[in-house]
Amino acid sequence: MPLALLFFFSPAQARAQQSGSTLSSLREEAFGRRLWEERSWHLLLHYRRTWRGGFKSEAEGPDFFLAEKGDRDPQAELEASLSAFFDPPARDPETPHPQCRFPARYLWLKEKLRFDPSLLSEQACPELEKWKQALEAESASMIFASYYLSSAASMYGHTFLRLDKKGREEGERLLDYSVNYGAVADSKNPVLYAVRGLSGGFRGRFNSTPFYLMVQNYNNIESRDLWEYRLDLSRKELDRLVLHLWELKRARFRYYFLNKNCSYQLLPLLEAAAPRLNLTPSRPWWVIPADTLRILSNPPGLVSSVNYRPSHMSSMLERRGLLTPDETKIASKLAEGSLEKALKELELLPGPRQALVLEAAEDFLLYKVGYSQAGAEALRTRERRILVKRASLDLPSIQPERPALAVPPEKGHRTARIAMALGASGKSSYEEFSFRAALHDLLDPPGGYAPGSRLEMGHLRVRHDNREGRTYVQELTLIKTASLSPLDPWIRKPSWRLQTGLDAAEELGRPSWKSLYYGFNIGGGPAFKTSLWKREIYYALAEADAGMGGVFRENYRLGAGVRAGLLLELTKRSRAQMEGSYFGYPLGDPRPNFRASLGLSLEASRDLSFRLNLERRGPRREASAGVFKYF
Amino acid sequence: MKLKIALGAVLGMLLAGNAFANKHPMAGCGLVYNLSSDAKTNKSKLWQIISGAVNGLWFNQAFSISSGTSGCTEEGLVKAGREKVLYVEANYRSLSKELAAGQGEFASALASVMGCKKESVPAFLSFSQARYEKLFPGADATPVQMLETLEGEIASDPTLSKSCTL
Repeated sequence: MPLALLFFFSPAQARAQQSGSTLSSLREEAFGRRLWEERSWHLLLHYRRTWRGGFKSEAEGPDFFLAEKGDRDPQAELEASLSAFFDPPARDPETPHPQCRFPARYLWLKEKLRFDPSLLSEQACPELEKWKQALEAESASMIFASYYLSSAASMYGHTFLRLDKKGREEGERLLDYSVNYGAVADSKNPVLYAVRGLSGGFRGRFNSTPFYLMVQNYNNIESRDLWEYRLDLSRKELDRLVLHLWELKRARFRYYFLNKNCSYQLLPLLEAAAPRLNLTPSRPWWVIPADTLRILSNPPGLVSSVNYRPSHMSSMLERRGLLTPDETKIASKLAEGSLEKALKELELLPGPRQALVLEAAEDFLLYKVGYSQAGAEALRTRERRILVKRASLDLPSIQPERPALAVPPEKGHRTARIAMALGASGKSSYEEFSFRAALHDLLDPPGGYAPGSRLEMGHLRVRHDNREGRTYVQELTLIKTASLSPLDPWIRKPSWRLQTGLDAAEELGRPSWKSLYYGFNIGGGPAFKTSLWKREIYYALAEADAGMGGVFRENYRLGAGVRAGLLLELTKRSRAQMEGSYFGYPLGDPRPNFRASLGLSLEASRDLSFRLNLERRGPRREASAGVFKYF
Repeated sequence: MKLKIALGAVLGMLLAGNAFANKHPMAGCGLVYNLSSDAKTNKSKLWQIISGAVNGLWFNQAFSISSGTSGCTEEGLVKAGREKVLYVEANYRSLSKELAAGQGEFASALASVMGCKKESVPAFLSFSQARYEKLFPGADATPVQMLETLEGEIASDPTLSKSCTL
């Protein structure tokens, strides 16, 4: 009787039995070879070494790990994954099989342990196949959206990946998919937003979108340049990238604005796909998108080509540059003046010029109104008439010649800066040491950065006064940001400035080390440009100024004033900035604050500069010379 | 004020879209242009700076589309059958500009989205340029309307109807 029963084992059960023994022999092999110690496994699971020498995955979320302590135990996770791959298919067809949830891990284990397909039932993964087919990636590009000071989140720029679909040429990339890592910020409270963003209070995740949405958002709506860095990855590495992205859909990561941010997380992703690359910095204090671009430039040949997509504003200005002054007037009139008159004047131009003027007018209109569809009816009617007129001209567009490309972001000076300076003031002299975490001021070499922009975070200046023998903090700026936008008939953006941090109120006449206070300052106004020598920018800002500290009578002051200055380019490698400011304080310590400065910088190489600085604060005058190194 | 106009326009879009429910049921992807990232709003610079504290934030960008919320995407991919609607909605201004000029990256990609073979893209571009006023009949024309008109025109054209699989 028992013997007869043996013949009634179902094929599935027989398979399961065989699988069972296969699984245990595979487990043994994995054990013997200690596969969980391999770099590829760590990359796929995003393990990082902890201070205590253990492992912790940067990924979170119960759906990303199969073992209970999988986020800390590479061995347990490997064993659990291996077993799970041999699971029978779930009864519920909606639940994906572990092979389909973690195809990159599956593929890796399959190769390492040489799974025998006759002994292991490979599951069909229809959703995964749909994903792979939609992407059909034949190469990947890292895309950088340029610095955008108007939004704290975008101040340092942004990076995302694009998976270039097979069979498409350059100029056909809009329909490709891009992969973006970003935080899910579910807080509308701006203070909470900032605090949580800096301290890992938000979770980040990967998502994919059609590239055209990114182009519309960055190039057009926010008017930012896009730089595309095509990466040279092998077929196998690309496949692994696509599979790993599928695995990451359910993973969540702690998002830290300073270091584990949008651009950082793309590096472990690329390394998981291509373990031959060493990209992820081991313990970064801060990583900004431009840093990740520099990291990508390190492995020789990884970046095979760079493509520049100008922002809407850049292309608008390029096109306007092709117009004669009269044509420019017609274009302005078309966009915002008397439309009928402009159309009549347009008729007098030859056909191809008409087309160019109409296109320039449309660019201007789009820039003024914005790409979002809302716009007053009168504007939309005007726009339609311009476009209908253009459509009636069956002529090709005159293309602006691509100008000498702007300096790409990774070729700009490096992110952090230290400096040593010697100075003298009155009868004493001093040495100054300064450290700045990021990023750029108006005298730093401008190549690769947004023109007329300033963004400084974490700037510390320490001085040693030789006469008194004292060492003291001269400045500790948390953030200092400014954007100078010279007024232009077509671009009428205000210039603005914001700063907060510790500073020295030497205008009050006390020694610097007794003048430290905490200040906050914000202002706006117009800027203008000329080309008398090379490039000069003049600015005048009305500002509000507040300060708290023992140096003030009543311990604070609150007032307003003006700041005016001139920034000029002397030679290709040198520039100067003159600035003066005057503030009065109706509240708190009423003593006025008058400051003036003249700074001169000379670029020795990309990451080395010299500066001369003359400064006056109230009665105190000082002069200094220093060496600045970027790293 | 701008926000009201924006919301009104979106509502108008959705309502107008519904009027053409036969061809594109649940017309439109409900693509909402979030104007808070538009520097020309009345929101103060300070607010913009502070409220944009987290980068890479999809929701903070102008398009509040993410997998699932727009009805046109699913599992990170554009839903089958929704590619055309999403494409014209997202790129409407660029398309109205480029189709008038009879050239441009967005206009060429539209040909691809309409299923036209690569060789017929130049024909598609001059075809659309010649029918520009039909495609964009008025200042209130909507993306979905434009799409349906275009589909109709292609279907009734002997050459293009063969090279573009609608």
